Amino acid sequence: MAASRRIQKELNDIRTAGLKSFRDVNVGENNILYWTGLIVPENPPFNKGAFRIEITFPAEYPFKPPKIAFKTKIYHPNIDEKGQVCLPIISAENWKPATKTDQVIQALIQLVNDPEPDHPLRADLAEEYTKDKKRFFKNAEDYTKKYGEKRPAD
Amino acid sequence: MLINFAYEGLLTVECDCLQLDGHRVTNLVNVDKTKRAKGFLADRFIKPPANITFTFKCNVDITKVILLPRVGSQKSSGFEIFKVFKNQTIVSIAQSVIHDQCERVEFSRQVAGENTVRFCSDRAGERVRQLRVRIFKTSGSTVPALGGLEIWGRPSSNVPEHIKNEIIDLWKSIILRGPNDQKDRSVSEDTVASLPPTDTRRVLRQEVVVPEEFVDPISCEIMTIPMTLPSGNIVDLSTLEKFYVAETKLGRGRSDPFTGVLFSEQSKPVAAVSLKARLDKFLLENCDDPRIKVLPRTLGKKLVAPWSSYSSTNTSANQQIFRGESSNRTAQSVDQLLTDCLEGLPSYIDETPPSSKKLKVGCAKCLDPSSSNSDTFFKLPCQHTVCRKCLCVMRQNSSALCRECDQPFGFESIERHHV
Repeated sequence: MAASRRIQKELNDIRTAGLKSFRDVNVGENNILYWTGLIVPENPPFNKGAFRIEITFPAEYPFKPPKIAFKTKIYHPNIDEKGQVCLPIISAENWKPATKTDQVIQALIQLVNDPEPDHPLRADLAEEYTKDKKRFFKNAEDYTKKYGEKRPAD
Repeated sequence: MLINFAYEGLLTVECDCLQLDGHRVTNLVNVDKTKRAKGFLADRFIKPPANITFTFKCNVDITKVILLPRVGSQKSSGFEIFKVFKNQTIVSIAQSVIHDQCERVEFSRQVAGENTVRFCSDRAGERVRQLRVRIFKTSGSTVPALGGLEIWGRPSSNVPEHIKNEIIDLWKSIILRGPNDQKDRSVSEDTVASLPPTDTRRVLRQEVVVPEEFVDPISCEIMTIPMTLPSGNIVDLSTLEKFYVAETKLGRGRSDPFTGVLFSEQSKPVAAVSLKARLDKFLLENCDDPRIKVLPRTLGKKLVAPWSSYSSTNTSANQQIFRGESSNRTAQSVDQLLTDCLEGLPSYIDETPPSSKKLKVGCAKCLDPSSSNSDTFFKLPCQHTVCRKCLCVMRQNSSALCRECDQPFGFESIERHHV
């Protein structure tokens, strides 16, 4: 498969880079097109937990963008209840084959750390985020503690 | 005591197909290690199956058969071993099909494991007088090959004592000779290792490092036809073409996969010629490496096609006209050269008939055959002729109509008329 060598290289690059905010990268058995990883945000209110994501690469990768979904529930204006995330860099119209997966992950971490209430997937949370930040932070923190995964020790 | 019977004296060997010179099947059982290392190769045109039959001096209980499938780049990938009875009936003992990386096949009476195939029954290897190895599959398009072979076993229980002793003595003499050979071989290996060219070559073959610049940043494969993009990045043409297909599906034009800026007549990918030269040199130097061996290569013809296919129809039409002009130019200069050469030389041809012929040809536009004495004539698709001067004027006015019959014509369909 054409995509596999590129994905293999990106996987090696990400593993050697050893990002603090993205760890635990696992590849599906017999299927290099399916990755899972752990997002470890640094900014409050999400810094109380970690979030499992899955990245699915299409067979046409890198000519089509990968898909990202959250497996862990998160209280975030840009991520809906099903775990779908609206990330401009991997939308069909903005995607460029030269975009590396680590750039995509950096963008995702950036989005998690700093929500963008202007382009929300969950309008109610976006409204709360803009109008009553304190309440949003409290809710998000509670939610993260309740559903989020354990953060790695180091 | 287990004996490796694969030595001449302990058995005889024959093969049912033609063998390559220097790689006869007797190599496999030769006592001389250098000959043994050469292995067996069938002749170039032989296709599997190839049968190699070993006849032992006595009945043998076989416990293990080890086959090395490779001779150079030739490799067999499917083996079956048989027991052959006196009446020539054969019974399969075991068979195995190996994968690409496997360099050793083992058939064993007891254990089974990776690359080890168990005999079909415990007693299958007992009392074998003739053993047949059949190569029924080869890797890719190679000929049947066998790099080496060991047949371990012991004489059967029904073998008379004196024959048994004879065989054991023979075996002992072979192993006694073995260490000497081993010594010789290690010496020769030392000398080989001390020779620098062989040494460096071996090192290179082991770890060919592909320079980053030869690797396509998008597909991460070694490039075949590198193209420099307007953004300065270099990608392979195949990657670009895949990208174009993906973009066309989304209803977008051809653009730079790094910046997304659409290509235009002024900014479009161009062949990275110097990189291509370095790449080709690298590929040529390392063509022994199995990773590089499988890469696609380009030949002159294929190189030209992709660029010309890139240009739009409009430019290709321009190109055609341009080509036509240039050929005329050369034709003219040849004419000029010829007249220059012939000037001053006495002419033996009667001058009058050609001039009368010229009247018939004439230029349909200026109708002045005399003025175009040295001029070139062009034939239009309507079979009327026009002189070069008039054609140039027509071209400037872009009126492509034949003066004689008012038929329109295309400038690309004009042919030179030879008087």
